[in-house]
Amino acid sequence: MIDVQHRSIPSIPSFGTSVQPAIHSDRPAISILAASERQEALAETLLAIGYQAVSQCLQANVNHAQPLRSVSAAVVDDSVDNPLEWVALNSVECPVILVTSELSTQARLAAARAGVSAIIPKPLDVSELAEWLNDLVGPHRETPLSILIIDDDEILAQTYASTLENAGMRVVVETNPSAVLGQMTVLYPDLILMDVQMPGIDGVELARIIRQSRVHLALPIVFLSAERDLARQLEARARGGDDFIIKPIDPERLVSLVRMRADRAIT
Amino acid sequence: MNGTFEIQLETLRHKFRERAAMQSDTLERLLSDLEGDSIRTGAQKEIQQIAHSLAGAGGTFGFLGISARAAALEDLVSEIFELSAFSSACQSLISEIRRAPLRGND
Repeated sequence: MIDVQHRSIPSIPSFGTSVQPAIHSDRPAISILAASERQEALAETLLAIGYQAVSQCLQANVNHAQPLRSVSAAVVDDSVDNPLEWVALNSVECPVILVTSELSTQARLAAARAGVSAIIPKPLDVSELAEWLNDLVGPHRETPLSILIIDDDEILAQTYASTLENAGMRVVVETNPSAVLGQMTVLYPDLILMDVQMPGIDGVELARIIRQSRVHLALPIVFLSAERDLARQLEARARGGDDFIIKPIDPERLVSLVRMRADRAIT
Repeated sequence: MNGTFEIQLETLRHKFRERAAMQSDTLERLLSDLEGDSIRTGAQKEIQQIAHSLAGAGGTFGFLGISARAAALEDLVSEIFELSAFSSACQSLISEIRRAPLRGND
């Protein structure tokens, strides 16, 4: 998901350097330098892993550009002209990650001399990007954890939501499992808490569908179910779940397990 | 816990209690159907779904007796069907729901 304002960025060439308005002002801002056709994908990736993307207008002549001063890091994609010049420009202000296909020693030396903090080979591995940003920018837990609850039992789902919200988390409830994929395009949860037995699509099937998207590979999915059969619990975990909590569960333990699992995935 | 949270939980607990009462009526009807025709696998399936729901939700709201009896009934569904045991477990759950206190914590 990317804000409309991002879509309209004139990337080739323009004058001046601009930061787009913050969409998630509570998330660390990461500057993107990429050819226009790569900007949207990179912005979506950054949003999915908990950052907000700001696009730096690309000028015909990098010497006329200014680095962004309000960002926590910059990601330079080698689709942009003269990527190392953009690296050098921004590395004076913040850590820079270069996403590139050029991995020879000579190329790495040139990148190091330009001030690159990290190189990620193409095709981009989202989890590697998340790990580098976490190392370079640091965990950003001043923002509340975002939890998506999927349970067809509305009373139970609202109970879990109230419990987690009372513990300071942001929670969205979805009682229709068929609508979850739509929710995933606008929500970037830190964790999904999901029932197993649901009509139409069960939780295990839904986890497999969610995992088909590469940006959600690292997203923790915790099953919360009255299923007591150990074999079926293990099957659920093997097919896309990270953990299995057996209903009923007391509120304090639910908060503790959700927080621990989400924090572990983020840090 | 803050007051608003307490009120929210109490409202949800009340909703659960109302729904469980309706589910006990449904269980009674389904059990009657089943006793009239034990081949009715549709009724078994519906009873299993209600039992599964109550097993998970009952304990969450402090109705531990409902949760335990619902779990026992659900387990029976997955075993070789024996009407008298099934009927007994179902009646036990219905009785538990109907005598459960309003606030749970039983």
